[in-house]
Amino acid sequence: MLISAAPGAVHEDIRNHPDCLICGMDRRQYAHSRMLIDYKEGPVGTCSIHCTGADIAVNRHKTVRGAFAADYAGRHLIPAKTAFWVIGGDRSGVMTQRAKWAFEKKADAESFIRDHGGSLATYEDAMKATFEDMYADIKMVRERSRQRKAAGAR
Amino acid sequence: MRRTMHSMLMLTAVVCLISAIPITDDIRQYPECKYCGMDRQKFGFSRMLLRYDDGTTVPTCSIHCTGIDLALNPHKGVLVSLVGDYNSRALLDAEKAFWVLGGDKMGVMSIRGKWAFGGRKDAERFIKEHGGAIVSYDEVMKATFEDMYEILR
Repeated sequence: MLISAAPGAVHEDIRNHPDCLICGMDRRQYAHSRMLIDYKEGPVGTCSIHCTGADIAVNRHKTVRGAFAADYAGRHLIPAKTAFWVIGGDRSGVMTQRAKWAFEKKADAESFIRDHGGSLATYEDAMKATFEDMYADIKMVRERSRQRKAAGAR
Repeated sequence: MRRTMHSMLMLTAVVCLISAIPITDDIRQYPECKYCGMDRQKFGFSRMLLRYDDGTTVPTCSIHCTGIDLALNPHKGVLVSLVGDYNSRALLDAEKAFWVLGGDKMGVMSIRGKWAFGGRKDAERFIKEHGGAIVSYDEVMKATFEDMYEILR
């Protein structure tokens, strides 16, 4: 059901899950960082590995059959476990201060690192880093929301 | 301008009112953890109560389940975060409590214990008997998410 490399798959998962289930962000806007969790109980779309971590944490009773991440270079979904992840670098992360990007091809990940910094990692490394960063990132998002609300009230 | 000032004053008044509501019997009001369903009377020594600025209240059994709620609601502002004192079970301000991370007592929803104390001496007495280290709320919350990953993988 989750055809990672098929043409049109990108649009299909965004059409079926336009908003991140956790934070509500537009998955088309964050197509480069979005993920799709393939639970046995039904798929869940997120904007990032941050929200994927949060969803998996709250749904421990669900069976994760697999997880898919967007290829940063091509925007199509690829299996998160076989992706080449880059942690860090100078590009702003999504829902995080320490960016985490997935690449289908190692050459693309290495090219990104040459241009933007960061280090090559596995999905397990990226998910571990996601939980390490989780509280600081929640506080960052909360502060940004507070500032937006304050600016809107002015 | 006057309308904005009025709105801000009203908002401040509502926030103050919500914060001022005494929490004397949270276990009777919220007997179960919102996430795991565990009995908050039984886990009165680790229970928590979150109040957000939108007026919602979230009862949990532990800092683990509080962490889950925070992760699911990153855009909400936290008015106050309360935790049961390990000894007396009275609710404390979680940000001001003396937290003990680790030690030989099994945690709640977590292998590594995370306990809150109103007084530093109580925390130090616990450490003398059971081990662990005093940490801040930010540090214990960071540890909560790190441990969450270990449980999930």
